Amino acid sequence: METRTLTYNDRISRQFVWASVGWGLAAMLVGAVAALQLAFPQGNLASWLSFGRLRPLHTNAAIFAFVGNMIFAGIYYSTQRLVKARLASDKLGSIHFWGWQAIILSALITLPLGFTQGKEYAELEWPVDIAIAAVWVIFAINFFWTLARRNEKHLYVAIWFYIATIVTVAVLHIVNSLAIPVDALKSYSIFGGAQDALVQWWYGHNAVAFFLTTPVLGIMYYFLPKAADRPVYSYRLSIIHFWALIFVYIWAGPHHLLNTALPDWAQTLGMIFSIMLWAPSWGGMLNGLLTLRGAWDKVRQDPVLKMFVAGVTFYGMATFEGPLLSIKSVSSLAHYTDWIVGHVHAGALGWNGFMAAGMFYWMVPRLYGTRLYSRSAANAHFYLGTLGILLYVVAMWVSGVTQGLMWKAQNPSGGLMYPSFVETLLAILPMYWVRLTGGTLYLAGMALMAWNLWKTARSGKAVDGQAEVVILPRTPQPPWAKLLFQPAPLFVVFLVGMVLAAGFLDAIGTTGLILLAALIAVLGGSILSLTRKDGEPGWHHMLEGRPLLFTVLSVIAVLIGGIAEIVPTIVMQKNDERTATTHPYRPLELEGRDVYIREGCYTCHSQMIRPSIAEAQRYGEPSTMAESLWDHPFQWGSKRTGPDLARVGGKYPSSWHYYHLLDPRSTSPGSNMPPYAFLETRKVDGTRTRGKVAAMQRVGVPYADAEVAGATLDASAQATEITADLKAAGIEVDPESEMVAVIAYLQSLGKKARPQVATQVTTTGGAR
Amino acid sequence: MRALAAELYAGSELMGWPLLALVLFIAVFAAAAVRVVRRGRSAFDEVARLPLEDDRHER
Repeated sequence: METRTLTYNDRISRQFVWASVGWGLAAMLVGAVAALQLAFPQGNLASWLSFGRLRPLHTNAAIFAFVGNMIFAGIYYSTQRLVKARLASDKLGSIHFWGWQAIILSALITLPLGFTQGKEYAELEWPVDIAIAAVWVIFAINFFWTLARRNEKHLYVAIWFYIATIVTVAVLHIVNSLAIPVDALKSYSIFGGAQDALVQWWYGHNAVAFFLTTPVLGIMYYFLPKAADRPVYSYRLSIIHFWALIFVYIWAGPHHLLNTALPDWAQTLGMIFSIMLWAPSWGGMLNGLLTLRGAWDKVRQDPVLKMFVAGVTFYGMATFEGPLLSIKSVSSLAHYTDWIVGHVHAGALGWNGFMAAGMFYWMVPRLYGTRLYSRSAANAHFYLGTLGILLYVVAMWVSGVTQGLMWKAQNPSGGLMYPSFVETLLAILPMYWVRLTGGTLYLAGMALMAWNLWKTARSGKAVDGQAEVVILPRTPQPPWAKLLFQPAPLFVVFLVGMVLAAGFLDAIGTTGLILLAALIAVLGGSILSLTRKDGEPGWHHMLEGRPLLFTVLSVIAVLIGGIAEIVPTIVMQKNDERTATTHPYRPLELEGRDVYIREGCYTCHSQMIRPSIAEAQRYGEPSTMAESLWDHPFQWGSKRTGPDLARVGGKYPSSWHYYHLLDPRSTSPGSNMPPYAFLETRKVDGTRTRGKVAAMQRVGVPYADAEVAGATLDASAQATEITADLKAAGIEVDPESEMVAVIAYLQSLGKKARPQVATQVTTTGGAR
Repeated sequence: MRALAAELYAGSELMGWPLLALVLFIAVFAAAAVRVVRRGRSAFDEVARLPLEDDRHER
């Protein structure tokens, strides 16, 4: 047997660790500033530091800079050791590292300056999107190349999670980022309205799944056994929960759109699969916690295990809360409230943050050939962080439920008990201060960690791990034909054929045939497994040694859910577009909408009136799909720190909007909205208006060529109307100002729709 | 049965496709679950110990 001494590339892990720690502190500091601004609106000091600009910076930094760098550190460290091969290319690794940091830097510059696509967790404009795709491809090439050079036959379960992460994130990013550029830093999504809502939250929820969960589960499956010095509790459970997780997760996106104008069937699919997701998620949690059976005394001593146990527990909590929130009736209370914010941060701070901390506390001493500098500081970090999370999350639960109930509350005569939105905000303001306190404590814990890790590194010297490995002889793999023409895949092909044949039957016949296929699937699968000869390698066993085929099947598993949910909406959207009577935005309204998106107004204001009595009383008739048909990107929103704006058009005179934007508290005492006085002096760049309308036309909005050609003139004419209206109220304003454009947009909301004759608006469920 | 199917397809004619996806998933999941349960815990001991092995080999 040939053996060789390998030296792993641990430099790359060291680089990603420090990047994660640094950006993590920055992300959380921005988060603390944003939390302060919500409690104290005077904290909005300048246009580029206002809440609407900082919130996307915070989310992108937390997800892609903090957690992104952390997962790369863990993946590079663990993969080399699990496959017993050095990283295939140091150069590609270096490009990955520096490319990723350049992307983060571009976010740091462009987002506060207002260059945004206006899609949550995908705000970065199209040149950066292309850079992300390029860097991701480089990462994927290096990863799979390393697998190809491995000296370990079996792919440990952590590697499966990494494979699923790499392929799914690529698919999600590419599809959701599809856009038509207007210029170098502006673009419009090719998706609009309800279809964009579905694509956005198919992406958004699976960014959580495949960027924040699966790679960290892989990290858990490597680092938790390492820290506990015992193998995972049940490898069999890890196989089952892996396949269930990566299939079911993809369907969960519509749970962000419950009780909206999204069709009922899509909402129901999202709800059911989200509830099912509880099972594989807790499979992972239990596997992690039960690994520590008989080793709980170690948890008392070791800060690494403390962090991992708490992290996995918060994961369990968040993955119980998530399915709960995905029930339509629960969502009708929680959606748009702070309960969702609490849920997100339990996962982000508890699961991601603590798993990162545990991994860093374990890895950094080994990366520098020394011991952790201060165990007591690490323990202090743990307690600070836990207290911080508890304050944050409990504050958000109280605030969310309080505000949700206040929005719904009816007085005995059947009217709204709290008709003023600001009343509901003032009731929860104390909770915003508690949230800020909790977040600040957590940040303090992170700072303590950064200090501890730096002192640890200073006390040692960078060292790359070495190992004596047995070089695997290159045994011939089972030929493709043998692998594909096995009973198991042939059986699946038979089932698919059965179901496709159902396309020739009517609806009832189709349903019956599909149910029959399901029954045969369960029975046949069981028979196949039970009749396999003992000692003969199973089909899945052969599959585990073939990462390429494994990858292809993982891709199919995750694509199924996306195709099943998105394709029907494409078909429906085409029908809607053919029969639509909704008018697109006038050019000045479009300019105003771009300012709305730039300033991040959608981070606090929704545009989706849900079909309930209280919402109809507060905001007007429930929103229909038709009304947002031409919104590229959609503006349904996901949070109400301020009221819904779907039917604000015509509700207030233009002068009200003028004073409200100058100083929100002048019209709405107690409001925490940032002031936008600078809109009065900033001018719309009229030379870009025509290009914007043309770009909208390219993504399918039915502007006539004459409307595109006359866009600048029409904008000017509408601006004149609005300034005349303002002048009648004693207000002089420049017709070319962004203020006028935003007022034009706001005054159009809810007025340009003429519902289609076929559309039924009901008080239960969605529009279809 | 007719009423159930009618309600299912009232949302969209394309509801058969998510059902197909579910069937495929059930088939794969059932086969994987039966296979791992049948193999027994000890069959996976070697691969489960992989994260701990590199400590033995590491210098």
